[in-house]
Amino acid sequence: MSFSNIRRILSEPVIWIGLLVPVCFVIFMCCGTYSAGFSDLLNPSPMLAAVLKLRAARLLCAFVVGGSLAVAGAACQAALRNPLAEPYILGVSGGASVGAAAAIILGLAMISEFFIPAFSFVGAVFALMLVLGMARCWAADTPASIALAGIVIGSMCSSLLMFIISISNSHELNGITWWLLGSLQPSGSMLLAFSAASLLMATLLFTLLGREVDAVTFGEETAFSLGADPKKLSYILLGVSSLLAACSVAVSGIIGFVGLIIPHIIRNLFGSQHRRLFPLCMLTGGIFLMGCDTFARCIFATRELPVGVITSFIGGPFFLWVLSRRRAWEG
Amino acid sequence: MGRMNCNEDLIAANNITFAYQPGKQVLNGVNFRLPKGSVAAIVGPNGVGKSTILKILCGYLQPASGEVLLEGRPIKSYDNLERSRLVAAVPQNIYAPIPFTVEQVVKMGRLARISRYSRLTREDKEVIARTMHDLNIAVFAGRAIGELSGGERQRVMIATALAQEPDLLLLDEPTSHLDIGNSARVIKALINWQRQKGSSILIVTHDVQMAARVCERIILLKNGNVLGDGNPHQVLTRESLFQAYGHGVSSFISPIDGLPVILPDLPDAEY
Repeated sequence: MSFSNIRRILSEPVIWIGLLVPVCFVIFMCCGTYSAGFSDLLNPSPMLAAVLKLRAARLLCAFVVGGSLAVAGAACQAALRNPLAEPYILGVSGGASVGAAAAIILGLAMISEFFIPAFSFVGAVFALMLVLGMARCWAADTPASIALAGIVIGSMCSSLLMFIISISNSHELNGITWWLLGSLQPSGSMLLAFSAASLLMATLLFTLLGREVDAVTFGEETAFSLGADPKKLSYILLGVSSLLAACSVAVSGIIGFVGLIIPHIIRNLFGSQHRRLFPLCMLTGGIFLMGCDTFARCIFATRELPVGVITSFIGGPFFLWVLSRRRAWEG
Repeated sequence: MGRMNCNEDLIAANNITFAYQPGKQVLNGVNFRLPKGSVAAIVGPNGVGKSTILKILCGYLQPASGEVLLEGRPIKSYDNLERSRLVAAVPQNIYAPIPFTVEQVVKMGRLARISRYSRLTREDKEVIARTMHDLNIAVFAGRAIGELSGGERQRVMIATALAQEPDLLLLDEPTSHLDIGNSARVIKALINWQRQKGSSILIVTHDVQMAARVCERIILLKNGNVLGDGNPHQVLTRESLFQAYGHGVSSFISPIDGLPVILPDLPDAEY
């Protein structure tokens, strides 16, 4: 391997953001009510060891969910040629949550924990199809109208969710409420492992398809002329991102805006080419949600906030900023 | 072997019909063939199906009946990559929602020529640099495509199509957003490229003066049919233009280049 090759690899942002992941992981491990120094990490007391184990599992979970949401957001934005697209805004997360609640109330979640992500996936795809169908009926595939349709479907999903909660008996209610609280403390390791595997496979697939994804953002005709298959590619992108969104909803409930914030920041810092964007989104989305969750865990000494509160607090103004910037472009 | 026996035509449209909605026929049996190395234009009134023909010729739309032969083979039988190395199309509407830089966009022209597991070769980079230079867009290579004006964006998309190094370049209104100077520069770059490569260009345009000057072959469409097909002198006559556009025109031969100049009759000019 020549010197220039080594230099090229070292200058690749994926490498050093990849190195940043374990650094952040260790720092976030130390934060919390039961604070620990770096030296304690190497030689913990039994009490601290138990706390650290919990924290590690939770950080891992945050990384997988954050990465999934960011990659799904980037994929939706490319497939729909819409910088506002994101699983939460598109109503996909809402659909997934209804699916998951249905799995719990039907008692299927007791049979196997995989019924939750399976039903989430069905709900997510169903919501996505409704949103795209609505936008097409209005004969306007514009970014704002798709976002609007997503908001409508999302709020209908949340009322459906409330309906499910109101008719459920106390035993099922317990399950739904626990899941709805959306803690990133993983309940089952199998589900988390499945989500992590999906995330890795999806990122690898999207990265290999990166150049075609670039072409797809220029519209079907241009993409077709360049040699991509825009229809097939859009189905792959939307289908796989629905799976990622469904997994993260099944693991941790609805967490909004990660898929909007992260791809925008990465594009501004490292450019838009999807071969680089997808792996960077996975890593940065993971770091971002680990950070948000650590903040949610530590801000009040005696209680913790749901992490979705933090991401929405950051994401709402960010959404408005992106919207206003697009106005400036188009006008 | 088979390919050589068929004919010398690069692309042939055989009796093509098309309708976006049932009952509303856009094309009713369009026939023409384009030999290798030719420059042709399709002209005709608004909504006559000019852009639709381009979309069918590049294989994006399937005709309701009839077929398109690319080098003697039905275009349907080509796979995406194979076809993209032969035909490049620049549509009229260009979306650019994601802020790619101009250089990144032109690089996409090499999509069909590089494996997804490899990087751009030195040859790829040379082609990209040359087309960016030819279309005078190298100066804003690092700017985001969304920030460009319509004309600049149009040049970027033409450069991307040239980077594909196709045998047939299909252009839908390539100069609609360009001023006189840039329009002339783009046309010159296209013609130079066409002569060097021996490729073919088919342009859909409303600009009959430009078509008369640049193309040895003009196809005039009316109501989804070919009304005239031949050199500018044969096609751009007063009679056939009146028939096509339903409006009187004056036509005279320019003393400068000996080619027809078309002026629409306006109220002032009718005395």
